[in-house]
Amino acid sequence: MHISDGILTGKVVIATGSLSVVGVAIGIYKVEMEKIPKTGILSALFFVASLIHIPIGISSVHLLLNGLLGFLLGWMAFPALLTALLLQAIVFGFGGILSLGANVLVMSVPAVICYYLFARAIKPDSSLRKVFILSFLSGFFGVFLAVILLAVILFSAGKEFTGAAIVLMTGHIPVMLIEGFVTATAVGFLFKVQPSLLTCK
Amino acid sequence: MKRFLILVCLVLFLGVDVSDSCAHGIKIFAAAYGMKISGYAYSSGGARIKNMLIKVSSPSGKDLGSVKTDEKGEFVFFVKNRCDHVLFLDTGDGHKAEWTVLESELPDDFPEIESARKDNEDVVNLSLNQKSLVVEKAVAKQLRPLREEIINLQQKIRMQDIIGGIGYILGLTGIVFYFLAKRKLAQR
Repeated sequence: MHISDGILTGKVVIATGSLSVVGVAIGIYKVEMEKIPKTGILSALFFVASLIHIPIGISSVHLLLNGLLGFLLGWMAFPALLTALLLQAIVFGFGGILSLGANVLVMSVPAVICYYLFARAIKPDSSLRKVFILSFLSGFFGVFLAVILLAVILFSAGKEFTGAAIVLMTGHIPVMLIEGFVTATAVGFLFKVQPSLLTCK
Repeated sequence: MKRFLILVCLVLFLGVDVSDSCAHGIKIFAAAYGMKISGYAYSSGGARIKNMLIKVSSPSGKDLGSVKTDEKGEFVFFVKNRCDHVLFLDTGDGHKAEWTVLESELPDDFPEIESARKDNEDVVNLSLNQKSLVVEKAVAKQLRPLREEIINLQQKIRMQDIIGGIGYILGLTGIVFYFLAKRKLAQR
């Protein structure tokens, strides 16, 4: 899911880079003292989750957890993902430095969308089933939207759109389902033991 | 609690794959073997990349041809020019790999290779050039597993990398706390 260096054209690097700077700035602007430990832990979780590989097709896929991050962090997902992706690029060689902006966008934009679509609908008196379904959708669409965004960015860099999109989409269907369950389980657990950790006020 | 246990089991189940994953993305390994460049393309989990086109060019971008990986992800490219060979693979889904076979890996006497190949059964009667070619081939063959092992070791993600990364993130969290606390104190 990480775009390597040298795939994107100069224009795309600049455009995605500046957009991700805007996103990270909004995230930092919205920072709250209480959310920092949560952001740090989820950032670390994302950093490690990409090591879990499932070989599918010509490539291999891995857990993303961007839906979970968006669900729990909202706009703070941007700085959290920037940190994790930067470290993945430096330490593991996943993705690259020039394509960092694009990778941040691919992960964070779906995260923020999932936050507004699903996480905001949860109230402290919501039923567990509702929480479960909404967080499942968050995990599912976190990956779904990331695949679409990735295909769009590759397309803007001059790659063929439908071919890449189909390969990526079919390869990620199992990931979407697994992510949905992982997200739902994690959020459902948090909702039961520590509802204040969820974004609902 | 039950759900949490299921989550833990799921992660452990998926985690089985962690051990053999080297790095995310795709990689090429190639080595010169006489006048051939042979190698293979593989993805992070070690799975070979089948039926993909590898473009071969000189470092300055001159096209030298291309080669397709077979069902095992392997390929053989016949060298025609004396220069560094850059192998480039782009799977179209945002992953790419590059590998350079240096000019120094190729045999010294290029045009004579064909003749050396034809009559190298009788090693005693070979010219000095042809002999050195035979030796070069033999050494390349012996060195190959060693080179593969070095590449594997370099690409392996070690536990200290993972722990180090997590430590970095926690450290950054602490730094953010410091600045926020400073701001709060200044407000008082």
